[in-house]
Amino acid sequence: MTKLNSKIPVGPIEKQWDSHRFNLKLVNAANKRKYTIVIVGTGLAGSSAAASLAELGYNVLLVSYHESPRRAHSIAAQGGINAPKNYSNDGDSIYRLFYDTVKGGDYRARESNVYRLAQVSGNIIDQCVAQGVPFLASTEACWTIGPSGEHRCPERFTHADKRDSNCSLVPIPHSAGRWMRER
Amino acid sequence: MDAGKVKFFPRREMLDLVVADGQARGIVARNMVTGALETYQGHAVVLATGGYGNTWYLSTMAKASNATAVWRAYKRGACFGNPCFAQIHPTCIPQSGAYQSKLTLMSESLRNDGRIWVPKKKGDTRPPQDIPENERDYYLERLYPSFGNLVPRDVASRRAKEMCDNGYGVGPTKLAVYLDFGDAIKRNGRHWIEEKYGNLFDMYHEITNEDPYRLPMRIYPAIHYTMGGLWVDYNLMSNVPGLYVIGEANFSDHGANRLGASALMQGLADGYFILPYTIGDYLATETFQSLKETDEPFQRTTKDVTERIGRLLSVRGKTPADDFHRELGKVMWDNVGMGRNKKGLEAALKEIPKIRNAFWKDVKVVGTADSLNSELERAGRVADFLELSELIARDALHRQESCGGHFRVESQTEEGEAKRDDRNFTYVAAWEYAGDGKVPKLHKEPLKFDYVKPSQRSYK
Repeated sequence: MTKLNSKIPVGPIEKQWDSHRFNLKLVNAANKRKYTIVIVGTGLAGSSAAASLAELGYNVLLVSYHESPRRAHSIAAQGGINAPKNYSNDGDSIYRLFYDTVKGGDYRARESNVYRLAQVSGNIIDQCVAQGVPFLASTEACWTIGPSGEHRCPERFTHADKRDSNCSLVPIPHSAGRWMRER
Repeated sequence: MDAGKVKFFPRREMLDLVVADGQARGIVARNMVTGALETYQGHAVVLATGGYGNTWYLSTMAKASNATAVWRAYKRGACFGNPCFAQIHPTCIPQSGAYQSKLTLMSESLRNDGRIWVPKKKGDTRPPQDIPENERDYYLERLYPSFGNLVPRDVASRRAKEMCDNGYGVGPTKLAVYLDFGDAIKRNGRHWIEEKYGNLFDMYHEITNEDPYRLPMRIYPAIHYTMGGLWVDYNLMSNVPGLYVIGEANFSDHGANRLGASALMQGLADGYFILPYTIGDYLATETFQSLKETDEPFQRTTKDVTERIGRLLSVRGKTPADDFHRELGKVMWDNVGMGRNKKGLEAALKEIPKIRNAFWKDVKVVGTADSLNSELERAGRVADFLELSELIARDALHRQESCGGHFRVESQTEEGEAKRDDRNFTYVAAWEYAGDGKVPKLHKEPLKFDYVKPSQRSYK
């Protein structure tokens, strides 16, 4: 008999992910190489997971029906990424992104998951830059801030480039590529 | 830094999940070049296989995007969360004919500077430049003075459909509304628009042979994203131990409607910052039996896949898989699309099994299993869409409320906005496979709102 347990942590929402992470068991660094993880799909989610897990020392088998991760659908996304950076001092914050996302989803998503998403989202751009991932196909383009359309805060939307480009996030699978050996 | 920690296997399509001793331990995939079935074994499996928008046949997704990986996992015991929550994007280039195989999205950002309108007069056939300002209805600005053209996708899509249904649609098919940059060009100059949206304007021009610098674009809503997906817990693990689901493939963060610029955000958050922590906890606490690819669980699953492929090839019918898919898409779009009602959903639940039965009696799959065979790939995917679609319709029928992208005509406010029923439906619907031909079991995960108090979404 299947019983679903969402495992949502207790405590104030701002602290849940931190305390949850603290309570998670860790795999000894030397033992990570004994584990293999099969990842199916090489869009942004699969590629970023492959790069991160490989960086930690796990063995990753990455399977894709494309001939190259560059063909993935999310790689061709025209839009951008939300990040509550508040560089322009217009009152954006993690809480506001959280609030907008729960409301925008018409109150049918888990608050804890959405809060965590808003919390970590600010790091995505930084992570990409740190990994040497240039946004857009050209290397001079990094990112700019644009209006966010339907969100309350007009300056949240982080574009890949001032042109709303068709190839905004092309290089992300390349970050997986740095750990990758083709079979 | 080629540490070789990632081994990449391109051109392999996952066709089944291997569960051993209750744990997800690997997959069976078909080498799409040689046709050989291969197994991949690990201590955990992560699905990052995207959404199932192509169930509706026409969508903004790539033609090859499919639901097979998540559907196979569902049939191995993973629950499917909120399958009826699909997003219909308001700014796509309208369909031009029955044999079109996909739709093209025009980025949402266009709504920042474009104004959406239809003629005030029904059935107005004048070209847009001949319709004077005071005979245009900028309906989003009229209905939602504070958000105007930037209302969320579900609202913008539904209003566009409503305008067309009521006879105000434009263009040859009358299933389109205008997205007009005339004012923005007057205000900021053509150069400014070129800088900002030049490539999108070029793309539109190429596809429609109309110059959007001179004439307004024509747009119409299309299926774009699926908020539903495999159910996962806070650790992004499904109810099958060791099976993780990330990105669009899971159901987790967007509720009944996703906001713009948050799909990439969620996919990368899952992959970069969440999964690497949570998967370690599982690996550190579980014990694993040593398993070889020649062992029974892998052999048994490979046999299942072989049989299924054999079934597809042995039908030897006359109708290509795509025809069944197109037929399914019409039922889905008409009955399980933007406006859903009990009668239409019940009709879909009758219609879908009929199409599925016809498929298994008459599908034509040329070629063999042991070679490159795109017809076989397609037939396998369509067979899965023909099952998943039924679950989507069932979920939509059971959720007798409107919320986000799920609009039940029976449940709307006086102004025609989605009306939730929080008392009865504040839960995640997670469906569990119960066997072919059996009604799946519904689990309800109650949702609690301690911080953001549910209210009627208003964008006026």
